[in-house]
Amino acid sequence: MSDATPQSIISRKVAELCFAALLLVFGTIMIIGAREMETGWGSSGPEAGYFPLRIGGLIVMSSLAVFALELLKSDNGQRLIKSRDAAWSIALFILPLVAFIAAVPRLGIYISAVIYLIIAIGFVARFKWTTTLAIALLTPAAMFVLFEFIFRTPLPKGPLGPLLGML
Amino acid sequence: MMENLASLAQGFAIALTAKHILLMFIGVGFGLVVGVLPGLGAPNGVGLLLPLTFTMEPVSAIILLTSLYWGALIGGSTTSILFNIPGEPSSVATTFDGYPMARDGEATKALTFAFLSSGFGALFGVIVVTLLAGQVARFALLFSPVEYFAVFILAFASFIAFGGGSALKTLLSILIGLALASIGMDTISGSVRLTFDLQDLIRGVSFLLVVIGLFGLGELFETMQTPVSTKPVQTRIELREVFLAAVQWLHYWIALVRSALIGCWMGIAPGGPTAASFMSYGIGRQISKNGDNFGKGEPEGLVCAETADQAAGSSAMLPMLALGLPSSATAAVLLGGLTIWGITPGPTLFRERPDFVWGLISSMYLSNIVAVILALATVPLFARLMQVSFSINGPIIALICVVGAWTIAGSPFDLWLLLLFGVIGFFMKALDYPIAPLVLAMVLGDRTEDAFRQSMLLSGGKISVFVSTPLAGIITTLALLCLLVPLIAAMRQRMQRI
Repeated sequence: MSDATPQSIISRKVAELCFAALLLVFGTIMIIGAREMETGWGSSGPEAGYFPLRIGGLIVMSSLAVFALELLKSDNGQRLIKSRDAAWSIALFILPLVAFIAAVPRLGIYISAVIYLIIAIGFVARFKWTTTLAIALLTPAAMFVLFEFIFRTPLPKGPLGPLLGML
Repeated sequence: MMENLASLAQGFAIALTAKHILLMFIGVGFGLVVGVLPGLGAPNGVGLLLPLTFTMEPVSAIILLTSLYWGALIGGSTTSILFNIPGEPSSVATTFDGYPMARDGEATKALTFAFLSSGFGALFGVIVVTLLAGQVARFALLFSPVEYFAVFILAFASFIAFGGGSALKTLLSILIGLALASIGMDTISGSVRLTFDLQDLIRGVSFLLVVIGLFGLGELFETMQTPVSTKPVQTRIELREVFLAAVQWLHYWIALVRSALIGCWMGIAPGGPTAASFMSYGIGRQISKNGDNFGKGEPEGLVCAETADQAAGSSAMLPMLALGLPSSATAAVLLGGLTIWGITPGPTLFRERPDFVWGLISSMYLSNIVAVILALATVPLFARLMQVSFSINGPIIALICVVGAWTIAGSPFDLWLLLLFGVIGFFMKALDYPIAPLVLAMVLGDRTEDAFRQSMLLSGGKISVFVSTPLAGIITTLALLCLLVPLIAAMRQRMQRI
């Protein structure tokens, strides 16, 4: 393994334990949700909560088993994320995406997409500005033609709505 | 048998129209792109296109989407051979011998072998579907809710037994799928459940969202951390070499037939293309006289993997149509599509919508030929596409995933769910939780629960109803035997250690 990067990124064992714990929580939520319904037998066989309650129970049991088995294993030195650089590139990929999703309800898909592509390709990946702008403008334009005229599935246009509506 | 052939002729009348042939080309073309690019696999590609087909004729929609599936299965092998990167999980076994062949200067031969084997496997699968369709549909008429529940359990159990990897993690995947499916409206009582007063959860969690999140974004996140080298070995295709390779390819007819049979078996009994290609490769290595060369660039290894892969993909359509039982993640997405188009899978479908069933089956003959030709013709193009930096491809694919998620219901809430499933998909991949069983369980969830509740109602709550008829008894027993497989394997491992 590369010694240059400090190996302080989450170990596989910790990740396994965390994910199993997360599933345990999910199973518990299922059980709580199911208990708001009838979980027994009614006139039409098992009631609405019957199945979810048991699925939730099985999730709790299986995730506990994964958790326990993982605790017994020794840490084999595997990493979930291989280096700090890798962690950075994942974060730099996800953050603009989060901003994009947050912007869609307000700005519509097209404006958000242009901004997102400029950030992801121009700022994060540092491509030349001409390349960046070409991709950031042409991709949404192609999407517009495709969805508006060929698929006939309008996407949210945000403030561009009145403008594009005149086309 | 004769009635099947008569129906097939009628199907060709539907499939052989200009509109449908055009749809095949579009579907295969899109499928090749999807198969080549990371983050866009066959299940995800079908999921992205599905909301756009809601207004189409069901026959046209299924022809478009299945063509995409064939294209993606073939496209996945292009990248496996040229870049050593499997574009699809089912083409992992293709890299074992395909890449070494290409590296040693036999790229054209490897690609030709892969495409022709795919085509052969697919046609073999379609012929099996054609011959068995009527019989399987008649057999499925014997099924009551009791047998259906037993079959669903058998499908889940066989994933646990033969999926490879941790049985416990496969079980958890299935359970999460079932849990997600139960959110929203309860189909029997009509009451709303597990929504925790969130308005957006009342319509339930769309399986398409889960597919796009887990397969699409999840894979993108994973690819981001290991930038792949995208230098192809060779991308020029010479027609003369293709013909020479095609002649050599015929010598492998024994491996071809054997692999096609394995593929069909794994396609009809739940297993799916990925398991089929690995199994066929493994069996080939054991019984072929070239077995020792497997993994070092042996053409027969490539033939084994590719043929079984595509044979499983096409024969999976039979249980999907006749029983509503998908044997792969993509078939599960297609099955979800059937319900949306207002088509109820099952034995009666063959009587009520012969146009749909036979239109699809006959289209499979043509679209697979289209796929082989288009795949050969576009190799240089896709090799170029792969060389585009992932820093550009990645954001564009992410954008496509978000837009795809929006077209499902036009809800901002869905986009956040998509992101959540993307992160979960990343962890599932990194921690070896299989994703396909989750999707399968999600699509089958409601019907599994309904079948269980109806069986319980029929029997007055006796669990013994699942062994009350010979058919149900056999299926239930098989399912229980499947669950024993991982236990026995674990015990044998322990014995060996002592």
